[in-house]
Amino acid sequence: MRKFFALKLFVVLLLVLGVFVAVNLTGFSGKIKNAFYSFSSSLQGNAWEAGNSFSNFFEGLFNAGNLKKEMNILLAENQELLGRLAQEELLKEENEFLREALGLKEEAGFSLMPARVIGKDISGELILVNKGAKDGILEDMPVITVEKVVVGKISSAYDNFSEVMLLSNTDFSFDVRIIGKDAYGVSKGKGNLNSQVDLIPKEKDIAVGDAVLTSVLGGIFPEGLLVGEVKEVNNSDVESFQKADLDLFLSLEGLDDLLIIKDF
Amino acid sequence: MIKKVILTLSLIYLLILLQTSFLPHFSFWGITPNYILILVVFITLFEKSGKLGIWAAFAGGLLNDIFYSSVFFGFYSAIFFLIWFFIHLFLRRYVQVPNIKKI
Repeated sequence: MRKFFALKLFVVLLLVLGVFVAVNLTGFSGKIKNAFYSFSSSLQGNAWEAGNSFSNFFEGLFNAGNLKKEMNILLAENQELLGRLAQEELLKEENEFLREALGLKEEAGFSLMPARVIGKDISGELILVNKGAKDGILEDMPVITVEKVVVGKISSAYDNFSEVMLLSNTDFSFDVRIIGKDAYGVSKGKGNLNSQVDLIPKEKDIAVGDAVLTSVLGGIFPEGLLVGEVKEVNNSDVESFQKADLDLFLSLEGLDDLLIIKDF
Repeated sequence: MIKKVILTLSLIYLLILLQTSFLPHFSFWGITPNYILILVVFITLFEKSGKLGIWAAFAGGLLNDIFYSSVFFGFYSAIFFLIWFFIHLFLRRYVQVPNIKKI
């Protein structure tokens, strides 16, 4: 009886192995995934939103003591940003005037496709969104939030769904620019929503709090999208370049609606 | 037995949906545990018949392959099967599990 069970198990295992090999070779796994996502997306989408609301509620409850302090910091930051915005508006007006004077065309904006998060992969820093190849989504398209914060890029596009590789994924690197320092580097994911900028020239004076934006150099993202701010600078004498750990602007909290850049 | 298998598979499906949508918001130091794996280990350790565990491992591995991106399709299935194999053939035979009511 025991021998019969072992033999049966062996035959079943061989069959399953054959099916898996066939699925991998034919690329049928995408179809299977798409079918399951279609079947589960409404439940997953609702559960994602519920998780978001619950976690926001509990976070508020546990951090009530810090709220006043955080509010004061945010108010100060808000005032500073308003000042910068006013300055930027003036520069924009001046820029438009000069463009008109030189007869240059207005810069084209991005072609965007809104998408909704329905799930997250716990193992590989990937999220699932409800737009896929049928909506014109292709691999490597950049994904951002409505606040122009970089989320990542499309790593796999199924018929109705797509996987987004987060910028903190260890397999993901792209060019970035550090504002006000005329310094460029390469952002590399460190997992767990952490990222580090590498290959920054040693002579550049990078400081904690410096804002990091995307650069058009790598061709992955358009210029000027928000990535994060410098959390820690590592300028070792034995290294040829300096590194900077980032505090990413990307957070899973409140991450519901995203924008996929189809063209830039 | 069939009832138990259907119940287990439904539970695993529900758990994978929660694990990919609701539970990532409640991670521990940024890490969300693989609850399916914990459930499969638990079932394999405490089941009576010895067959429910392999169904749980197969379904758990397959759903992990579907809902998580991996090196290749079947990666998690292989991992889950090896875990079941190890517990079923070695751990259950040579290690005394606590005397609780078996499933």
